[in-house]
Amino acid sequence: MAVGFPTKVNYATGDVLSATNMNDLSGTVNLLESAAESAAGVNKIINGDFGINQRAFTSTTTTATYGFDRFQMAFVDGTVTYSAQTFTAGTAPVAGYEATNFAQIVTTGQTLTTAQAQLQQRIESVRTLAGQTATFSFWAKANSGTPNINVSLAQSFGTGGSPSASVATTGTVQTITTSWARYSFTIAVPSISGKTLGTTNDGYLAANIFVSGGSASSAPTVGIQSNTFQIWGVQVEAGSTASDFKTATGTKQGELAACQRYYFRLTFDAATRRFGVGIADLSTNAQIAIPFPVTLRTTPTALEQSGTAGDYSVFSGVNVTCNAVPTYQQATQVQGVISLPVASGLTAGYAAMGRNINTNAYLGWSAEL
Amino acid sequence: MKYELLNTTEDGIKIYARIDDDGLCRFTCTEDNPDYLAWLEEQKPAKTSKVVDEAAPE
Repeated sequence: MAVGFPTKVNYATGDVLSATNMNDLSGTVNLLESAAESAAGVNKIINGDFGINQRAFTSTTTTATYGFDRFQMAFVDGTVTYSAQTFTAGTAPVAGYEATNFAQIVTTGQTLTTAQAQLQQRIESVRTLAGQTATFSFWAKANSGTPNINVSLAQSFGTGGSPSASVATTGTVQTITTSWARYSFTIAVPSISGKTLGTTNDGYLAANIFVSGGSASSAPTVGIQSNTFQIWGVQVEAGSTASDFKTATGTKQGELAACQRYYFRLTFDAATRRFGVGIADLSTNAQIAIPFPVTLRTTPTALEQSGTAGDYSVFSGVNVTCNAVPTYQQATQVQGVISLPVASGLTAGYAAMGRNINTNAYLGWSAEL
Repeated sequence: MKYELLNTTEDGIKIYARIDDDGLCRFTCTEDNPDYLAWLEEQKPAKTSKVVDEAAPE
């Protein structure tokens, strides 16, 4: 593409800008990314840069637990610790991207043939990439040695009715080093032709990164490994090559919204913030409706909160501190209704709002797959 | 960790409270919640009806 700026300043009616009026016709423009590469939706992984952490996740040793938004860790046997880590400025693996966070998985004490440890994201809809060649890529490093790592894309046909059994396709095992490097796995995702999808419409494509796997596990080629694994920049895309990393939506606000389709946590930047609107249905209880910022994937069936009644109160002309934790009352895909119990002090029929006592308070709704 | 029946809403929805090992309740749900159902499944050998404690009515 020519780089040219007009040198001619004054034009008369009918003048045509010609090459002789340009200051440079031999230069080139170096685009950071092609239009296709920057397009939202190329990366099927949401929050692949671990930039969204609504749960304020720091560390967990519990299997099937969500940490960074959309990513859960799962394991069998031993002790596996999934934690949030922060890049020292200037050390993120892609120059110019300057990512903030990365995921760390530490495996110890695994001995069973069925032992395994993985980081997983369930990509909505089993139709995703079905019948296509996909490339699964990420950056990784280990604390020591050259351990193995592998991936799988597992098709789950959902629940309800009589769905077909899951189909997992694994990559070819690779070794990683103690330096950040990008690893890419190309996988032929099977067609779903002839398969029966569950009636609940909750099928998914599970993207798994295995860091340990016994001979009878889902990742037998990895082997049982005790090590510290660090992962960043997860991408699953159509095609047989890994394109430049980008998040699913390409923007921070888009990525947050994409995450909030699956999980929304209301947190507070300071004490005594009011939230939601509702009514005191009893002198000892208020029902408060809280709209979700994004329509959830499905209606949530639970409410998460801090576990301490004294973190919450009701404002209904007066402030009344809760004497029990907030509880799930009702929900749709666009709002949650909670109960805020108090010992006394409300007037039934009066309008009410929720109010946090401190910043420990939070309210969370999940629509994860 | 265990689940207890907390109450039944005016819509007839049974609400269960998950009581964590430290005695705190950080999670309440309906009987359709996948986590609750998974826990219920784990309890089957121990006879579910005896394990799901019903909290005293409020």
